[in-house]
Amino acid sequence: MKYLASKKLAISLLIILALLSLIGMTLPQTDPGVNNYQVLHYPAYVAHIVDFLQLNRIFTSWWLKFVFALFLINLLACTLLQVRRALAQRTNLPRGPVYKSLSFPGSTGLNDKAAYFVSARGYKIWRAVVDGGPEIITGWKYGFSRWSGVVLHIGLLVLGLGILVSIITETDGIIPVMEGQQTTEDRANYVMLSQGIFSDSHTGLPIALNKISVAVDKKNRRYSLAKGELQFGEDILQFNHETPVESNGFTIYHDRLGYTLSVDLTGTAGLSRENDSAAFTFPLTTAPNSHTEYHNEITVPGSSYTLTARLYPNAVVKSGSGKLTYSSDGDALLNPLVYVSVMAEMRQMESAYLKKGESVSFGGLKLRITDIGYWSSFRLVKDHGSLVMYAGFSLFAIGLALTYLLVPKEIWIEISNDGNVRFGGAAGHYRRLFHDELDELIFLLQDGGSE
Amino acid sequence: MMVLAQIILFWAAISCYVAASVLYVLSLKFEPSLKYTKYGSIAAFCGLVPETAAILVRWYQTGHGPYSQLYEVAAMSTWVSVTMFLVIQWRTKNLGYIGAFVMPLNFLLLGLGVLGSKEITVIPATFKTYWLIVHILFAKLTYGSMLVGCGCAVFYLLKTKYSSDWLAKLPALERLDELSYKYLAVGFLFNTIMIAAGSIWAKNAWGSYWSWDPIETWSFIAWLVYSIYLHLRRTYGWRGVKASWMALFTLAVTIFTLFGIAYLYPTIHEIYLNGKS
Repeated sequence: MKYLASKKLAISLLIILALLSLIGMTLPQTDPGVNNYQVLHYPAYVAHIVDFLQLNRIFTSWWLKFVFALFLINLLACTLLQVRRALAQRTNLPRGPVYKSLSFPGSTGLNDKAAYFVSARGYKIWRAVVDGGPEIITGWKYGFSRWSGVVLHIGLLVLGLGILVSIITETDGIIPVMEGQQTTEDRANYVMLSQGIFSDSHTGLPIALNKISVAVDKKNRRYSLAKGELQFGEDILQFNHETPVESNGFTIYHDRLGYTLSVDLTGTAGLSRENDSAAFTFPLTTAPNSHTEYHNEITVPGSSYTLTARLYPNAVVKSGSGKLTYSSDGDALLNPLVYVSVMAEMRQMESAYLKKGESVSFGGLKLRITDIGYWSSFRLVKDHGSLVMYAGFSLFAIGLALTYLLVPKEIWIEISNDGNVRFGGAAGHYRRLFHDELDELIFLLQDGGSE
Repeated sequence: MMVLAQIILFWAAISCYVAASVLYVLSLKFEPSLKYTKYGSIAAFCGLVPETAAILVRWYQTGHGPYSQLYEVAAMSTWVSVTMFLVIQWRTKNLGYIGAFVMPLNFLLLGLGVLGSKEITVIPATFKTYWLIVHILFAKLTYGSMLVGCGCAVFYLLKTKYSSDWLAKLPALERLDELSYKYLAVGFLFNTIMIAAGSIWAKNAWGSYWSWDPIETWSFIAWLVYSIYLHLRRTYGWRGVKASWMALFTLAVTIFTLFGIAYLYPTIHEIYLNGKS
């Protein structure tokens, strides 16, 4: 216990952590989940050492975790020791040195006067006479500050605990939903998901994006701060981009915004009998090299047709070429137009520019754009560890504030029966002011003062 | 036009800060020193006026706070640091001399910033959060308090090593040591809040409290170095020369973290100094 709580160990661990982080910043690091290619840069025998010691992935290495664990154990041991000391002491100050030694021959009631003057300055008093010898009057102020280090270290421990809880229980993932449609909170519907060790359960509750509205700026650009109505289970939630909403134990953040195309396909040719009509929706993502065109390519369900769609959210005729072509003036959904191209067996069947409600026919099929709307993704976070982390950080900040704001002081006055008096004491800081205070006290006693 | 106005205002501020630096240095050499420190403070305050105006013009021009590109970051850092120094000087007796350390560093940083790119950066939606404001504000406060604390440490070391009339004017060694510790300790508090707020913001913006990004890692290293300094001081009684050197080392790590990393490593913080997002 003594070794685990040692300050030497604490400082050594702090230095080791700093050095390890420095190594991590100096040697090339491999991203987690990526092939261990970094070792190829080293000669074979060095690569072997680097790989064995995990120097190419320091921040996920077992021994960094080991040092952190040791650091937390050291912190816990130090904190327990501090608690024991804080319970046993009046202040965390060492007994201060002698400041002045004076003589007060023939002075009467000196002991009571000294105790009174010290007490009048807001000090708590403790008087003791040892074996009929001199009386020692001790006064202390802000003794509570001895708990500041304890609170500060407990804060760090709680913070560490919060991180642990987070690692074990957190669920954090992204679910896309199309406007007017519904999905469920199930593992399969997340496009990105990170889960804690014990958090593999999902609610299965429906999530519907009832409506979404998007602000548009002067240049016809859609402003990413969308707002709208989301339904999660029974809860109807009004969301916006800035403020997360809470529902069914999750904190829900609005994440990304994109467009979605609803298509209705009727006819028989090329479709299986079960799918002689098909209606489907698919999201469009930003086209490469363009901020204003959105595209996607899918295979029509139940057929061998490949459908490519390119959306111009605010279509304008592109001048300068003989052919009628379009571009988009901004990315707001003001005058949406879709360029549709249908391919079968590597051959283009048909292509056309279509607005909402318009259709194109090819090979006995009719394709109609039924809607052009938004899709949005939502980040669902369930992390009980975050509350613990906030609590830990708050305690840490309180501990720091107590350390700086409460300046502990202790005055001691040793009065012998023959009138010899020694003054001493200690202060956390502001020692010059503290000495001024002692001088004033001495003056009052010499003066026989009446305060 | 607005850029030109900013440049004129920033150079006016730099001129005032240079004048303040000269006056603070002169206050060490010539008598009556209090008069020189007083004029130094007035020059520094006069520099704050055009700097404030330049920052506001920039804010109006970009539509967001001054927290992207070295141009904005340096301006805001020096503004907070100079304001903080003037307040400390006003509240603490006989501390004007520290301006001879604080002001030159500030005018150099501001000069460096003004020479940098003035391109306007489009700020991502993830920047629109109060946590970012807390994060940035406390980064500046850390820098400001570190400069004052290390100014005291520098003068402590000079006073220990040399003896001359001008050094005799400085506060007593014990007082310099105590002030150095005090401002570094406050800087540690600010640094901790800065890291915590940044971490909460990172969780909202990038989905993770901590991802060992170079700036995050260097902030952690700076925080550890700070902790080592405080532990050595409180537990092992490091005072005077050793503590002052340690304080300067802490300042070097902090300045490197705040202003150097984004130039050396690819980082998600690139928008901060390079304006790339």
